[in-house]
Amino acid sequence: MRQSMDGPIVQAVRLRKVYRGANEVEALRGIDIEIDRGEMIAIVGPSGSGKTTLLNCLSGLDAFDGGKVIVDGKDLSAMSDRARTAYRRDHMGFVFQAFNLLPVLSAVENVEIPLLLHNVNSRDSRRRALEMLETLGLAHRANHRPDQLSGGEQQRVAVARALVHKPAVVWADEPTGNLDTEVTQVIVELLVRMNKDGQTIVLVTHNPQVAERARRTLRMRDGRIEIAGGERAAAVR
Amino acid sequence: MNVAVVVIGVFVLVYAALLVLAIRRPLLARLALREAVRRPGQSALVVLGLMVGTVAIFSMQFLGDSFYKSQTQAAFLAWGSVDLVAAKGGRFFDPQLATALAADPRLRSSLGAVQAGIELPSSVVDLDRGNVKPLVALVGFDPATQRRFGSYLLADGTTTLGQDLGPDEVLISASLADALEARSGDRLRVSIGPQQVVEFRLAGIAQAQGPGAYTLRPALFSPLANLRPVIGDQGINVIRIAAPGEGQAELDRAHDLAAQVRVALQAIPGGPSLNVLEAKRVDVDAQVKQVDGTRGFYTALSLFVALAGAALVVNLGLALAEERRPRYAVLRALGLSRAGMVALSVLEGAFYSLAAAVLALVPGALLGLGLVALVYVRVHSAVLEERAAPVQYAVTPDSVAISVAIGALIVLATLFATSIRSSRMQISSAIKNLPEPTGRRKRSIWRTALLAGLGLGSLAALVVGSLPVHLAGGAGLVILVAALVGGRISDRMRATLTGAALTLLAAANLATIKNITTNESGIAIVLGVVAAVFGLSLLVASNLRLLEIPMGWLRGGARATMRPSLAYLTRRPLRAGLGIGAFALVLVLMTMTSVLVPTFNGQFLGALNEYDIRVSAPTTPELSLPDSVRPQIARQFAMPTRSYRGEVSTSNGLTLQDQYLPLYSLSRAQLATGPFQLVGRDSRYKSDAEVWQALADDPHLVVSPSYTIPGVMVTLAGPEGPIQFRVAGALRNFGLWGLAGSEAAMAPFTTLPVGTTILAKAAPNVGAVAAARQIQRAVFSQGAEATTVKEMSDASASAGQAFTDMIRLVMGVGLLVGVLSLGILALRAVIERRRSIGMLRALGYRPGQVLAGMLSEALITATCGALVGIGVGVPISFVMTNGYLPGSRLEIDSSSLALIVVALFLAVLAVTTLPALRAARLPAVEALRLED
Repeated sequence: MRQSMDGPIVQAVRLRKVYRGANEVEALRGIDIEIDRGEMIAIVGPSGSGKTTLLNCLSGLDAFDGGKVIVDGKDLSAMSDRARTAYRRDHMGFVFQAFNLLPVLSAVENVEIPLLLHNVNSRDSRRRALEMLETLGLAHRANHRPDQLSGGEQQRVAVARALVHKPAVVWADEPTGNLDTEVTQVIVELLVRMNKDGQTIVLVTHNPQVAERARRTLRMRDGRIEIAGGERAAAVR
Repeated sequence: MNVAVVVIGVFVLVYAALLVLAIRRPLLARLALREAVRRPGQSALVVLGLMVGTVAIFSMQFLGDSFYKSQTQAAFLAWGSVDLVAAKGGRFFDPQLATALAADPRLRSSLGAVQAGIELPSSVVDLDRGNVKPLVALVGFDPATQRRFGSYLLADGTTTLGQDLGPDEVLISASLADALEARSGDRLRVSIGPQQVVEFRLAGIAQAQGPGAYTLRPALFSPLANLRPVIGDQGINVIRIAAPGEGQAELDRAHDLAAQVRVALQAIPGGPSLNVLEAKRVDVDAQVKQVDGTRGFYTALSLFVALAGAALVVNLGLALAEERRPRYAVLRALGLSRAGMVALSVLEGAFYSLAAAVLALVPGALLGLGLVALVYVRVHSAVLEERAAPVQYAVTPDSVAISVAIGALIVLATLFATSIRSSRMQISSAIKNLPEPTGRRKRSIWRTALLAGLGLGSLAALVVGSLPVHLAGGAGLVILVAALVGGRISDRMRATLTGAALTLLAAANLATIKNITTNESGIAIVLGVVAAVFGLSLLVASNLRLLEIPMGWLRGGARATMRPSLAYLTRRPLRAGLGIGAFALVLVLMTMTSVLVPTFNGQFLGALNEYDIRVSAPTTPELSLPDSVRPQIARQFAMPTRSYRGEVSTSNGLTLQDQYLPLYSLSRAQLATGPFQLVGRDSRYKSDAEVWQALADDPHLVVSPSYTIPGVMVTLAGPEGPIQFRVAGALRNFGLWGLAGSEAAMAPFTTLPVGTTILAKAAPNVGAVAAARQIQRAVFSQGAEATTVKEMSDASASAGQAFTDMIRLVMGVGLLVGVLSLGILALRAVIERRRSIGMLRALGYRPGQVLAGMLSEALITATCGALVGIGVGVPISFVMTNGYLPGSRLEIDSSSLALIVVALFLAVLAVTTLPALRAARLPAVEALRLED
């Protein structure tokens, strides 16, 4: 499912997003960004700076008001909601702060969901989901429901679910936001390991220790990207 | 103490306590009010949902009040000014007794009026119209004393006391005029016996008021003198006595007067032989008793719906709590105690429940009006020879108060329970609207005490109780064990075992029922149905997982679509079981109506092969069919018949006043042939032949198609006192409505005029209707009426159908509640699973898949509910049919059942689609957003 092409896997050009309500808020103010294949990039910044909005727009979860987003050669701005849905299904994986596992499914069943959406037969989907859990050290918890797992275990299941169908990009929004330091470390090591295996990972975080482990950090403020360490050229190509 | 007073008292106390709470904690009251008015549309929906219970209760109270007023009014109308009746078991006596009684100085102050009279069953033929009406009440009155009993108001607007009627002139009631299509001036031939036939001229048609409404049946009113040619000098057979006053005061005075009249008669020659009956009071009391009995049934039906509505309230309450969770969590963080949060929810609930209960009175009254029109009018117009009581629409302030009180209290109690559950929250998670982390609940002393109490109570019930108490005790023990093994075995296993145990317990208890007609077995059946339904529902819900096997064979997105939906159902067996159970409970009753009615009707229609024409001549003994109609007839069976009119009571609690009941005398030779097919027999007889033999030997046995429960006792008022019969078997042929027994059995009723009933079978290739019409033309001049048995059976079935329609209508409301519950559940799912839906959308679920998933969840629940409901309804129908008509073949009106199920699915789709669409259209990013 992962496509093999040269060049940046994600590219945003003058990306704009406006929240309309009683007061209009411009959440993204013309963002330009490129993310390379196999890169692990951390987006940091204060609350309200637009980190999650950027991730949502880049991943195709949210529509945007201006600019372009090209993921793996496909222009998301030209896609319908239906096409974006299919694109997410085929090429993206997600990890959320609140884990967002289905409470009524066991760990392995949660991991299977993307494979079911890809029409993988029952036997193969179960085998691959178990393999992924084993990789993450959770084989012994495969048949446990989310409420029987610790927070760290739940997030590892969520990571397994994000990776099981080998997506082009894994998007992680505050993946350690609900975890203690020790478990945060485990999850971050896991993401780093996956990245070393070639997985492109984009994560949003408040946690400087987590951001440090990324190859590159983007700092955001008021809907714009500030240069990490003052090196704007290094961040935005 | 009156239950209504208790309920209204509790209601007042609860709301007073809430008012005190609101005054003492104004912040909570203000917050509750603000929450209630914050989203008017949402609040209106909530109130609408909460109205269902009160609508059901109030409509049934409306029905009960209307029945009460109609039937008591009918009793007052039927007796007019007559309060007491002095008679000698139908025999004639000296009219001087009436004169002496009227002149008795001891009665002067308390007596309203006294009248000598005659009352006899007769047949009336309108010679000008060619129509006949058998079973007409011939009412002879004395014009000289009529003034105190009121004037007859005629159809042309004039009034008469009868003094101006010529010697050959009579009046008839409006209902008789309708039956005969008679007009003033017509020649009427009246017969009360073979040699007692006389012709009159119709002087006028009396409107159904005052004395013209007397008996409320087809009646012919004649001055006593005009009856001389037909009665001769036999005298009179009744003294009518009026007490002064109106309504209840009149009944009370009549009660005192009755004792005085009895004393006075002792002093008059011939007087002691007369029996004084408080006719009007006994009739009114019997009507009240009958209405009270049926009102209990109607109230039970409405409570059934109200309790089903409680499921709706639970879901509404939880949906509201879910929506308010972050706001409530902030209040908790600011220092609001858990009790304060419950108080806040209950105060808000108090606004909703009161508004719902009051507003529900309008649709409740409309539904009540519809039910009265549907049930009362049809039942009373269809029952054979029932008196024509006009319908009265009524509702009492008591009914309004009790409906509002019960409706509001049920809703409030349910919201209280749900608020306790929803007040359990982890504040930090709730503020962020994150899922509630699960943790093992601490053992509470209250829970331990509750379980101990349940265990002890259940054991006591098993040891000392009757069948329904045993059943309740058994169910209590099953629940106790299920609670104790929690955490030791898997939830699925626990739910499966609990469901199976409840189902088996219900089946085992129902199998032990020997006599279905007792109150005890009635309660056991209801409890058994509830236990079986919820047991099976739990069993099904916890094993829906088996559907995942065929789901694995699905290809494409279908498998992914179904996985979460099925998981939500199977992994929460209690919640899914309750949803399935609520549906199933209503469908059990629907199924029963679709089985019992055609089964019972089928039994009687099967008799048409035996005899399909009935010729009734209540005043013509030894009637025989003329030669001219013989070719139309394959066979016939004639029986001497006496027309009983009076009180009928049965050992299963039925008491009816002023009933007509034909009594058929069967000769020993006739009985020896085993003359009619039976559909059921008393368990003491092994064959139909034994029943007929027993009938020949025992004068206390009868067979009947009207009283179909073998073994039941039927008591009639004989001339010398009560006569009791045991029903040895149920007749299949409805042409024999009434009681049939040996000549010895009917001997106590020889004072009644004797007539003839002939049952006939139309010849092959001759239609029963055509043959009946031809017979009618041939015998009408003898005061005989020929009808087809199917017409009689249809009339009777129509009454049953009206009753069935009412049950279906009320259960339809219950079903609506179930359907709305699914809609609310879907709405709740949208709120509760918002984040899961967002995650699925992020992973690539299309909106259509989310929609299909939620719809299939509702449809699976409805399908399981339908299967469990039908699965329990059919065996229960079998148990009941076997109890009433042992050995009869079960028939299912599958088309009406299918129609109900299809309507159910459409309704489920209709109410679930909107919330499911809302879920499907939920943008992933919106659904996933944290409230921070």
